[in-house]
Amino acid sequence: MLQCASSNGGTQSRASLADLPAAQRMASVRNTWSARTIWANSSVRLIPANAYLPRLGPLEMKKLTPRYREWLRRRSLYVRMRRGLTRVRYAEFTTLSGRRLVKISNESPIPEILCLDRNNEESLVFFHDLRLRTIRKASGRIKPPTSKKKSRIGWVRSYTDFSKVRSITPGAALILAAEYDRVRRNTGIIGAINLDKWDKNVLSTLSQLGFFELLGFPGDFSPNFEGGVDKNLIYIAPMRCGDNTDYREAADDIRKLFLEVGGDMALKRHLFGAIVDAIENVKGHAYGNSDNVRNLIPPLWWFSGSADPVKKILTLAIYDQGQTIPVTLPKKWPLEELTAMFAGAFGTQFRANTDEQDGEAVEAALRMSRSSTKLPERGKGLSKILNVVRQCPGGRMRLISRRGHYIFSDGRGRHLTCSTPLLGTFIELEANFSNDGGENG
Amino acid sequence: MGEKVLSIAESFSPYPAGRYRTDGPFSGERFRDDFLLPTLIEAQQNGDEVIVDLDGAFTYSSSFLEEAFGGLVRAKKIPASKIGSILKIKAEDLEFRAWKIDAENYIKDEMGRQKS
Repeated sequence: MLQCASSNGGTQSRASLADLPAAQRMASVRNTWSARTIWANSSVRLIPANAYLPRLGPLEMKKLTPRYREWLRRRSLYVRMRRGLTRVRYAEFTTLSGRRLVKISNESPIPEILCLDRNNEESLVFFHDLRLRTIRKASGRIKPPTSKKKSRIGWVRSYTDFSKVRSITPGAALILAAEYDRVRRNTGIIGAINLDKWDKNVLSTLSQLGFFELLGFPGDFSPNFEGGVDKNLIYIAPMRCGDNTDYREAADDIRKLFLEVGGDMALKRHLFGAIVDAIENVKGHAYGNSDNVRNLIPPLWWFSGSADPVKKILTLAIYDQGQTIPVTLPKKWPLEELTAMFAGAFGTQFRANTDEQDGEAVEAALRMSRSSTKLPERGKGLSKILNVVRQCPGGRMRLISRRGHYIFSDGRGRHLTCSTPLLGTFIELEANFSNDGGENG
Repeated sequence: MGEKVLSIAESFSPYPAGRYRTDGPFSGERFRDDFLLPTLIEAQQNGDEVIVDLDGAFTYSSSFLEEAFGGLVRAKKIPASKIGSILKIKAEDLEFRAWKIDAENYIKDEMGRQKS
């Protein structure tokens, strides 16, 4: 059945191909590919393919097979590309095996500033999006360029352009590197697009953190600390990860950070002890027993630290991609105790199946501190960490777990619930040793 | 009455961490069962005193100390009443004093729990 529409007063009529005169029939058949036929007053005229026509009912529409639908989609893309409507973009792709030219598509946005202080929401949106794009093993992963032949230019069909990033803090860099470490473990390959265009400070931060070693790239982008300290530069310890409490690899790096900031060695040792407490929490509780989770997300912790040699600020951070504190809280405590806690401390009713109370849940975990094993001798980790931070000069703490944030600063703590979740737990401890006049570490 | 010094940093590891053996290679459970308890039992038989030296380690975590010292009471290999007379905890370096107090408190807390 040929689909025709009358121009007579807008009413529709339909006729079979056989009803048309022979010449019109031939013209109609020739033009069905690129235009629809309008039959009015015994004359046939062509209208553009994109002109508006009333939608036809389901009885008149021929259902497309999936294969034909895909063919139409690809042809449409091809035509658009030939007409210049889709511009092919080229980029330099750096991997373990070297550099090559690739065609790129499907760029994922990234904020100019990756910082959990100055650009918290956008940074969290990026990390959340990165996890969702890369969590699946079969698809959504970062693939090698598609071309098998050397003469052809392959495609990279999903990428993030890091040349747009102007600033990244060590804490955000740790989360970023940890996420890409997970991707590398799952897929085996990661490359960098347009590495030459990346901001030098971003390159420096990621290089010190060991991001490029993680990717397997040769080359060192770290700044030269010899011959005086640039006031804008901070020392960053290489990222370490592990699945147990053995932190020997990180110890030498931590010693260097301690030396840079000086100050009371006992406090610095206690601050790192708090990080070891956090590592024990990750080992004990963060990943649960789900095989599915274990297959997709390695049950690891990622640690790094930084030292500002001018301001004498020491920062230690740890990140895991586990179940998060708001998820484990109802497993640790009886419902009636949580209800009483929330009513007494926050004036709200506890609801287990929501993420709108994640801020309160994180603070509750810091206050209550009991282990999921319910053994009385266990579960002092989180409150211990906060106690150590309280004792440090200029002690600051940032804890992010799902949508819950707890920030301790200037001797006071506050919680908040952000709109975008971090799919894991991030703890950052900071101490300022500039004015305490303690012994040099 | 003789005394035997057991330095955690030198005899066990400068990087003690973790509660159970499954947590890592230098856990509190391993230190307690493989180092501290045998030394204490031997000292008890000989009428000696054991001094555990905390100095020299990189840091201590609360889980390690609790399992090593609080766990000593829970293990019940040595009567709780005798632990205080056989075991002394030492930290000459100021950096480690706070952990000495923590370790002693873990023993007291566990004794309190056992009594109740």
